[in-house]
Amino acid sequence: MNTELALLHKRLEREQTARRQADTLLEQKSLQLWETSRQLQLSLDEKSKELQSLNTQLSISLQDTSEELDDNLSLLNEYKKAIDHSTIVSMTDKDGIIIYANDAFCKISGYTREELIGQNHNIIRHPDNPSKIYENMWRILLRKKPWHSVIKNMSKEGKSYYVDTTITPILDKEGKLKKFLALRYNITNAIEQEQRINRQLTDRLTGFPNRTKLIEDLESRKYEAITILNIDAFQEINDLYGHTIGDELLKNFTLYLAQNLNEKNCTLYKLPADEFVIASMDSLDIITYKKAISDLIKKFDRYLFHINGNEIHVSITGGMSIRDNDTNMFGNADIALKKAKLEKVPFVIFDKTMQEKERYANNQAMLKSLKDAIANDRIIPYFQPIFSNTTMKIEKYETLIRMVDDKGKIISPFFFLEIAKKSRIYRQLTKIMVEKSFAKFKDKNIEFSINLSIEDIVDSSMCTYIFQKLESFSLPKNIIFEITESEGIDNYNIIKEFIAEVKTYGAQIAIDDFGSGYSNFMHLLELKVDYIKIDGSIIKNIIEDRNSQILTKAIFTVAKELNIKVIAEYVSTEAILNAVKAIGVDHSQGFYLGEPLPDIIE
Amino acid sequence: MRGLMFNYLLEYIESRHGYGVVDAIIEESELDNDGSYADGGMYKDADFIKLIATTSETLKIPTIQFLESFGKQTFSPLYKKFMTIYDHDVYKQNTISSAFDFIVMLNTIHYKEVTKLYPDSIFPHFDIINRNDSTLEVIYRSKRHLPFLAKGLLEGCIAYFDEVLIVEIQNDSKEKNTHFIIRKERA
Repeated sequence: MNTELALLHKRLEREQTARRQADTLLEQKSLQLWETSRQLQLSLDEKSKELQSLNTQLSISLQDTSEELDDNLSLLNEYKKAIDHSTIVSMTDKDGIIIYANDAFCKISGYTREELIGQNHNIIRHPDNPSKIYENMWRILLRKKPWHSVIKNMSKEGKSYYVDTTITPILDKEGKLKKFLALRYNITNAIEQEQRINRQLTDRLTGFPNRTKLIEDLESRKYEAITILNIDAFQEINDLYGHTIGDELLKNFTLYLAQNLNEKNCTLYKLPADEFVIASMDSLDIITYKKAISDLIKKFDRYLFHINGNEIHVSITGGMSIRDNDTNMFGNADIALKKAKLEKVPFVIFDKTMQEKERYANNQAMLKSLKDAIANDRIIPYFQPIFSNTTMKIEKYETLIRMVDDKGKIISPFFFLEIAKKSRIYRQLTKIMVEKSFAKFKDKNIEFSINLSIEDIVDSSMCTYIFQKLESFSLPKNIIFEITESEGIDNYNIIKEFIAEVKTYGAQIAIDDFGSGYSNFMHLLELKVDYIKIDGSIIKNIIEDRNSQILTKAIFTVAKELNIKVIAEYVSTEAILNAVKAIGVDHSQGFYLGEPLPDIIE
Repeated sequence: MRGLMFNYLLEYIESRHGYGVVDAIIEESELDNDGSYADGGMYKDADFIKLIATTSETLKIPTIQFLESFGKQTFSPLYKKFMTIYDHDVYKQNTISSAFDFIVMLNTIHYKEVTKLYPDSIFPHFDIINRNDSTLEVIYRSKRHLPFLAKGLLEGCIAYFDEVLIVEIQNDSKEKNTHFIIRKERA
């Protein structure tokens, strides 16, 4: 029992010792915990202080930033005001949907802000703009580059306006496209002004530079040479096919010219009516230029224009002028052109001897002299005898117009008739000639002829005047009207009517200058004339030129068949007289037999 | 050595042989503090070794056998004592459902957390050198060098998870480190 108690006692003692040790350990742990807690608190306080200080610093810097932002914001607002005031501003999202529009944008587009916001920006796109413009714009914008262009837009009411446009992509922080900002300036006035000027310098029909532009360019550019091209007998084409086809022909003609103008240094101008100018820059040498023009003119001989089912052949005549010191290139080219027309050659290069005519420079002076002459009764008839080839006696006279100038000099119609035809004076000249010729032969039983042009015959008041004169003339069978046909008779009905009317009075008709123009035997049949006057250009060559002989014989043969008498003019030598006599020609006139004189030989 | 292990040892002897034998062994061992141990206290490793040696001599049981047997019995109460650590939120994702799972965890969780409780502790290391479905190879190293106690604890662990595995020491147990192979019994 004692052993057991002793053992228990020992065990209790051991356990007590262990508990004490455990208590000590607990105490130690508790102290450790307290210390840990204290350390934690300390470090917490420290961190808290640090946080507080950080917070204060943040607040201060936030305050500063906020003030700075306020400043910047008000500055930005000022900028915005300034830009809004002067500029059309809009903003879109990255897909082009409008998210902002300023007042100027609303005003010019005609849409309200509510109508614009949420719409695609192409709402103001003008249908005239090629879609390429926009493809190009998007290509640049999507590359995050600004795009700049002058572009035509359309307002809500369909009005066009022009804007100088800059579109800038706006990127987010990652550099991705976020928005587009568009700034525009209205430049409609400037563009329209420019277009007005361009219109003034452009031919309406063809769009090529016009006469005004040519004159401007001739002043400012150093053209080495210019050529005026004129479509031969364009008026006839117009009369035959009508103006619509005429215009269409001009357009096609212009394009054909431009396409065939191989020399790149040439500029094409379209002048009024049917005239064109090809100007050459100094880099093109004259030999190349001459060849280019000559080739170009030749090309038209083998070319047919197809207009509305009509095949139209066009021939052209050119007058060229090459730069010389202080020359009027355009005027000189015009003189050369006139000469080419007169001589019926494809083109003529101006040279100084042509100026001798000076008709063109003196047109105004000549018209003034003519007016003076009319006012002072200085328009007079001259008379040239016409002989019978069988009797060689004077059978009739051709009355020919002359002007006496203020110095008493006799002026040939060569110098004034063409000029007069372009003015109203011409009509007065015809009347004077009718008046004076009729008066001259009033009491004489002698045949006499008076020249009438197509211009006289198509003028109905002139016809009425002539018919009245015939009415009051005692021997109208003595009167022969010579109708000049060198201009080309294109309205045979009017002539036929005139001839028929004249014949009711017993007067006679002659076709003047036959063989020089477009008239032919078929027309002759229709016209029922009494005389044919073979053109002087044929007669004067009859000795040396076999063709002239053949032609004269042919005319004579046909005339006989039709019972028409034949007159040869320009009979200037005995040889010519014998030649026409041999053929059988009825009458002759010319310097060999008798030149025109102020009076008749009685 | 932690007081807890001394107490487990004394309780193990008492449960089999009574407190008289425990007292005799304490007396015989001539310990520093006469067999009084607080669980959380630290005591001399030499006293633990003395107790083992005296027990083996007194009870006529080989030391190896005694340590293995003691270790095997001690795993379960040790595991239960520190269970809250293993259930801690941080380790929730590491579900421990087998002996291998637990042994692999020892170095990562157990030592890290227990050190927070007892900063002066000296722990053995169990380094995993190979693992597959049927085999786990572990290197045991400890300042105290108690490979057979470790073997017993490993066997206790296997028993706790209700598995049938063999624990073998691959090298000479006198070497500094001990190479354990834990594997499923051969068919």
